[in-house]
Amino acid sequence: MPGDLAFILISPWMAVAGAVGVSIPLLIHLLFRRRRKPVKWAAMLFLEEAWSSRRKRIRLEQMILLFIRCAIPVLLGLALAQPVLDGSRLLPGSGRSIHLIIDDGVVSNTTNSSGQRDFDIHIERATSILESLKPGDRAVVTLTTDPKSTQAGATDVGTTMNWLKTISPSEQPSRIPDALMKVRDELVESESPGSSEVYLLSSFREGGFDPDIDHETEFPEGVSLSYSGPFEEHTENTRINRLEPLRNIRIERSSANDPSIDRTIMIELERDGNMLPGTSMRLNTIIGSWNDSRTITWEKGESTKTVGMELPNEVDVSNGIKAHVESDDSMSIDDSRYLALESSEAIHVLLLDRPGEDNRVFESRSNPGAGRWIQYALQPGSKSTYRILEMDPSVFQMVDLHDVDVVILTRPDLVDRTSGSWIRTHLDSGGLVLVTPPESLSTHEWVASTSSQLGLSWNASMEPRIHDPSTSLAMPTDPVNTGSPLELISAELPALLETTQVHQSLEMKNIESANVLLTLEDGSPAIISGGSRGVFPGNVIFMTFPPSMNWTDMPTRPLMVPLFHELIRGGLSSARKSSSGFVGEFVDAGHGVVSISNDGVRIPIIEETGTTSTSIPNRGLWTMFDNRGAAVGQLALNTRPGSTDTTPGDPETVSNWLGGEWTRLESDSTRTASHGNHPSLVFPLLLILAILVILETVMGRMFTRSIHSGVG
Amino acid sequence: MKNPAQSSGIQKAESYLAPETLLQLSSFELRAKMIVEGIRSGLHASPHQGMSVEFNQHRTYTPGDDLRHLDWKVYGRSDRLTVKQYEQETTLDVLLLVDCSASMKFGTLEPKSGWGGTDGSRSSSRWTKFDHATATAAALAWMALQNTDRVGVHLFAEGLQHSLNQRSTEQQWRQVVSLLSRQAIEGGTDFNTSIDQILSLVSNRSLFIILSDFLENPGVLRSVFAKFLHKRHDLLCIQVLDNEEIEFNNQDPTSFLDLESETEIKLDPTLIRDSYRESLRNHEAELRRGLVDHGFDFIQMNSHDPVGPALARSASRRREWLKNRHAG
Repeated sequence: MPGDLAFILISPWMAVAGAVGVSIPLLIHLLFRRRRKPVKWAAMLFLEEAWSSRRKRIRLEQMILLFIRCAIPVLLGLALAQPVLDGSRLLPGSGRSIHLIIDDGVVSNTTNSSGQRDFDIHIERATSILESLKPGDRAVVTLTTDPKSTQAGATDVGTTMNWLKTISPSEQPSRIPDALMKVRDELVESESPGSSEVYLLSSFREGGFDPDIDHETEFPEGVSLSYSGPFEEHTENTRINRLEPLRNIRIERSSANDPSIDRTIMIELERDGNMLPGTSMRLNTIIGSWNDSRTITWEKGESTKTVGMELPNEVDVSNGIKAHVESDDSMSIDDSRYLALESSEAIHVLLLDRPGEDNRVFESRSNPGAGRWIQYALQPGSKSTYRILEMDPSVFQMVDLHDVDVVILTRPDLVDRTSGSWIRTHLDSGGLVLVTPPESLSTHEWVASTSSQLGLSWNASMEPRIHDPSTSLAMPTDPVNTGSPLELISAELPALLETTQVHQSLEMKNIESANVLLTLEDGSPAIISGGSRGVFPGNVIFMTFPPSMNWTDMPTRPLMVPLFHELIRGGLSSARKSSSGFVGEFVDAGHGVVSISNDGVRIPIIEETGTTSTSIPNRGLWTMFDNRGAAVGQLALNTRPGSTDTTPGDPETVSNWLGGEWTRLESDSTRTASHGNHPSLVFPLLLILAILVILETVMGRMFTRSIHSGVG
Repeated sequence: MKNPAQSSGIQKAESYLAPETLLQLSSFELRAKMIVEGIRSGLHASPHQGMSVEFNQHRTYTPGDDLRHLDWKVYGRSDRLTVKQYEQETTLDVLLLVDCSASMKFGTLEPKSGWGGTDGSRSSSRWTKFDHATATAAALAWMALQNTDRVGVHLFAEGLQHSLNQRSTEQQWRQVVSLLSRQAIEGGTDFNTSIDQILSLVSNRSLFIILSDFLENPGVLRSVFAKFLHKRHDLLCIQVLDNEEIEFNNQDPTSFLDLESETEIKLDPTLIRDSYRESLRNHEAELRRGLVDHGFDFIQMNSHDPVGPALARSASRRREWLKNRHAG
């Protein structure tokens, strides 16, 4: 059993090479056995007599010679493998049980000023601890990025040590609490946890350890708990925390007059360390063969910097975007970030409306109806990026939803159960649905059924609430949260809202799960959204009033155009957020995707949930495939922002977080102790080797250079 | 001390009798003649030596007798014409027994240019033991015929292959040469059978000269020698071995294939060289002892050496035998 060996090989591959080297003398032996052209001979009488008298002795001599020749490469390989004697293993085992928790999270890639990674230091310490074990002792290794899977066969110390040499730090975030829980559970289930020792080997940098997440792990009585770190060296590290577009959908053929926000991406940089002034570095944005490079200069103490970059129209973003900062810092993994961007020629809108039914409304040219007002807002000029298809709710078919990005429902009351299920399908595939109340109805029974058809539990009052006097719109009390469709115009909104009056609106109920985008003056919801990433991947925006002059003066106010543009673009953008994710997590790839692939690694997608079946192992632009095997888009997977923060953790905070029963390891104690136990075996081996070489030379001369068969 | 003329004659004879010279000659007959020239050049004892006519008795002269044979001393004392009557030596039968088994095909001496000769040399392109044995046999036959001996040749392997009955005619040597040059070399060696067959053909007491490598169990050979003694024949055994067989200087591990039995043995010569040489020495000693015990003679020839010594030795043996016979 390798674990019982009384020595350790520093370079085991050399020993393997030595073992392979045995084949050389054997090969020579076999070559000499090959059949030669026989020599015709007359005096066979003497030949046979001589051979039969010496055969046994010759064979014995040749066997000895062959053995020596085979032993030479073996010993040479063994000597080059640098075996060291493990004196401690010669002693009987003490029944120790060691649990090593090694932090292999992305932040363990941090390189210190000596050029050594945190992870390498953890492995050195782990090896030192393992070397102190004796036969019969037990060792189990748990990695913090994957606590569930413990190293197979880890109870064998020799195997564990060899395995440690094969592993490398992950790109995934560290999950120390989960690892502690896993080890705790193992110890609880073990028969004698009292003789166990737990070593937590982590650098406790801020990126890999969150003191706000309580581990609440109580280990059984008598278990010895030790930890290394936190590493106190401040290392310089600059990273790209965010690489995001203003819109998740990029319109390819947007004209120069279109708002430039479609072509803008935002890059957020952050740095750790001493934050010295005047530090400059290059920031490259790479899209296929197109490359934009600019110099970033940091001010003293400046830790974050956001850079906006407008992409030229002619650049094809379908293969993804990569941003890279050229910095010679302590970690290279976070110097790059990827972005997948969906591009489209235009936003396709299906307007389900029935204009003209209400003659009373159409009597006035000044009030053409909600559907028409929305069309005016979305297509103010001839070069609009919106393609609007108007259709009566009672006649539209499933096929009409093909390639549609947004469904605007101004007559939800006319949508039956079948049509409702089609719209739900649209939501499930990441679409946007905008619902406004029918302007002509006086009672609104449709809300509950429409809400139900879309998988929501929202409801509203049967009758609209009349505002007398009319009320203006307002921003919600809570600040507009990140990801809100109206985030980009949040600065201009207050002024626009003031001038808009609402005469009547529906009173919403059961909207706890909804995001309130705009309110009325009294704080009651005016426009809400919901569903995205919750019930379905798509998004639903619900207005409590239609853009109709009977309900509001919004159609004639400056708010109308930017509001609907932002509701649709922003709403659609949030609905399509499936194109990004983080390493080490289960990522939602969306429905219709069966697998994702990158650099030879393929991960299946669970059909029911649309998420990956395993956590993402590494960064990059992953390609999504449908059930026909066709590529249907890209997924940009990056390290979670903050997970590469190399700022050293506060020793006191770490100590408090772990608890009083944990003892901090002295920096080099285990290593120093272990070296004394391992005298090298190289010299004795070389001595034996020299003796064998001399023996081989002497015996080779005495005997002969080959082995031969007998008579016959 | 040899005078220069004698020394020059020796060198000339040596060059005639050396295998390196002989194997240059494509015709076996020519080769045999070359040996004869070597003998004539004076290195060895004269072929007429031993051809003395010995006095037998006196008789009264009768007309017609050769006056040269009158004993003038007797006439002076007794005034009687008396003729010295001489007894011509009984004609000696020299029988050459040449081994033509496959083992005689072995040879390692290489020619300097193309040459032919016996079946052995034609098939192996080397100066074989058989070449050496037949060259020696041809020379011996010539010498014997010069002594007016009757010469016969028997070729044997697993049994008697070919025979040429003993004669002392002028054509006999040519026939001997012709027989030796045509003989195929094949098969194993069975001394017992072969010698039994040959001895059954010979009634006169004869001098047998066996030319063979004698690669046979010494016990078997000893019983064969006893058969010659039993029939009161004399025997000279000339063992012909190749230099490589004697020295065994092969270096590379290889497989050795027995020329007679096809047995194969794979070994490294360097490992058993000493043992081999010791076996060879033991065999030779036993062979020699077996012959000496029976009153016979033995000579070992290296096929890379000249044939001269063997010829001298056989001539000496002939004289000795004749003396012994008269004494007996």
